[in-house]
Amino acid sequence: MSSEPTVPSGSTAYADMVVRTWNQALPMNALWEITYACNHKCAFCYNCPERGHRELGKDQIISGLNKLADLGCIFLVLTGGEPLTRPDFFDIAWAGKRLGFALRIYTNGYLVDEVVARKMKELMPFEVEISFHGSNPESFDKLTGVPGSFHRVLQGIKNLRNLDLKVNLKVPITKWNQWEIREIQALGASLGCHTEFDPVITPRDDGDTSPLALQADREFLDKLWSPEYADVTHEEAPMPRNDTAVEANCGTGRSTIALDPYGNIYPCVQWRRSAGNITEVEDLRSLWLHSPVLNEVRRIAVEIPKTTLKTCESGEFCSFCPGVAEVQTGDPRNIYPQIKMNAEIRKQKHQEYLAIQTKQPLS
Amino acid sequence: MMAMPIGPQTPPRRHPDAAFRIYDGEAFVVLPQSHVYKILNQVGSRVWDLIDGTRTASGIADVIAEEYEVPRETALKDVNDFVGELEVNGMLAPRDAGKVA
Repeated sequence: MSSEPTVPSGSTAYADMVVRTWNQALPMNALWEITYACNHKCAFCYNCPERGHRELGKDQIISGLNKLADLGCIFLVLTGGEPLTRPDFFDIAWAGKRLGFALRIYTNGYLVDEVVARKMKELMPFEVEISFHGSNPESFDKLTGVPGSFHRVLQGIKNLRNLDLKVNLKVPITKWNQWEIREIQALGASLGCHTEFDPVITPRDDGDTSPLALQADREFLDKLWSPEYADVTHEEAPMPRNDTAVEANCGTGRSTIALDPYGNIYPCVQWRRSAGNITEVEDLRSLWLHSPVLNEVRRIAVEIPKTTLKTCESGEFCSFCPGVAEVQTGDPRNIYPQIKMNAEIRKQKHQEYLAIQTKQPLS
Repeated sequence: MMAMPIGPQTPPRRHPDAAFRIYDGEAFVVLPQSHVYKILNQVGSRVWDLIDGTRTASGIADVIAEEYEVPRETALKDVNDFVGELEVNGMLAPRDAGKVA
């Protein structure tokens, strides 16, 4: 046989496949906000339900899942709002499972009692991601706007972990919880969860910038990107972007197809330029590859490293999001304040790190 | 350590929780139960595709021998080794498990 069948499992093969699919704009991920209904009232939430719009029914969503499977997506993220508020959530999730998706479920965990946890276990998702907001009831409940939510969510996590399901905690850092991220991480570890922190708060999808009032302050970010918090950021020091493997700024229009509860199709969860509606699309592959909206998005994403990030003094340390830039400044190429502040601090910390390395070379 | 190959009369079946898609002729397989990804080369992907719960390793080897123009004995040995590798990696349904609807 010219080439024997093999099962390589190294990260190189995976990275190579991700780059290839990215460069060909073959989305491995589908992210579907199946409802905007939510039982939390997070002050920083970016969702904007459209009054008078009817969310898709179960059959419409399942029909859409068939199209996403044909497109070639393998990971299906079911999110919201709070997806578990849909009484037909498990019907939708099982339909996804039968279509060969690996499921990721993004939930706030509030409704995960022992019965729901057992149903999750039967479903065997690849992972469950839970939004987590504080190490104690005071900060947590303040951010969710729901008294008692800390204890309910904590119990939900325990119910999943008791069944050995993989649970990741996602923590948006705000000025209300910024000084307790160590405690949050320790709490996550004690539950057997990996914890990821996001220091950038974004405007609402309709452009309302009120959530930005909650963003972490400069004093905290200065600490966050220092070696003192290396165990949290998972980097010894901030490092510049590496744009050599792929030429685009990010995976918008390439790695993930995003949908809202009405079936509108977006290039990613942050950039709300609709390319069509899944209920009306006959040939999703053709739309994804040839839509003028998506071609424009991909073109801008390729331009950004050569323009926006080149002209910005700290551009090489920017985790720039054109979707946020568009909703916040009106232009997807504009640097926006919260990313500029993070990039400036990251660059400064990188330079401090280099200075220390020069004086004290690693033995 | 290589598992004992599935017997010639036992059709291997993909693990019911394994999710997969083919990208550029290569199967990308996700195993939720162990939280790992596997990528198969083109021949492995063809074998994976042929593992449909009805074909035996011998039947799969027949197809591979024809499509890749290799001696049948070589194909059978490679397919058996590969199926054993899939089993070791948790990518196949346990042998005594019933069919999943």
